[in-house]
Amino acid sequence: MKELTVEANVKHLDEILAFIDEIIAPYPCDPTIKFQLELSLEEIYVNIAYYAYPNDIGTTTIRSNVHQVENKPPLLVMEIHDQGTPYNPLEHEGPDIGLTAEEREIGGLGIFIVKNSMDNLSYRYQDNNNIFTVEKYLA
Amino acid sequence: MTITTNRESDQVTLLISGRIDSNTSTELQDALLQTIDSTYNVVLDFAEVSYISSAGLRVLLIGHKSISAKAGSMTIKNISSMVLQVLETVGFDKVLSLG
Repeated sequence: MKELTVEANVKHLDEILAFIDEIIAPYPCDPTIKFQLELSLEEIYVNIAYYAYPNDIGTTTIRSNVHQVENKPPLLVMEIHDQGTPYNPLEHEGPDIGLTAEEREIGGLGIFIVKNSMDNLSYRYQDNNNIFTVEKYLA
Repeated sequence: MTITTNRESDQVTLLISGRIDSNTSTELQDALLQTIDSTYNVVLDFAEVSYISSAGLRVLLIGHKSISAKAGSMTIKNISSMVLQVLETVGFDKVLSLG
């Protein structure tokens, strides 16, 4: 399992995307899947950067690995940790995408995109850590 | 991300190139709202947009609402399949004008 810890600040976005790119680099990966991985990681990380630490500067740790299982495509696992306000993204109420543009509210799309882009999602709160795990088959 | 502005009669086209993410979306929002201030007809040319996240989607909805409020129009054209997939995921293909 490889690990990266950075300050939870949007300015480090390119650094964490490069970290995941490096992990999947040895595996053939469809460009659409790579796009979805980067997109989901950005949404999760930015959510932490904006909301997890309202009163101080915190960090985010990403632990990631690729699992090889016989007869299945490689599976990328990303665990995103923060020590901020307890927040279960799986309980996030998604937008009503049937509304008109005028009725749609600005924002609130990030976690909805993650839920629709990844294959498996789970959340746990452990030892004062929010731990959001997302998994995606690379083919 | 870079933004190139082309003005032809009453239509302004913003040719956007690169990634529209949490770091670049503010620049796009500033350029788009500034353009909407001076015209009723905006085209966003996405031919060279390789990536968009919710930060960029937010800007598109803000732009759409702003120009609709003055009875103008904003059209997004030349969208790549991967960017279109994001727009479709959040239902923006139904609420924005895609050319």
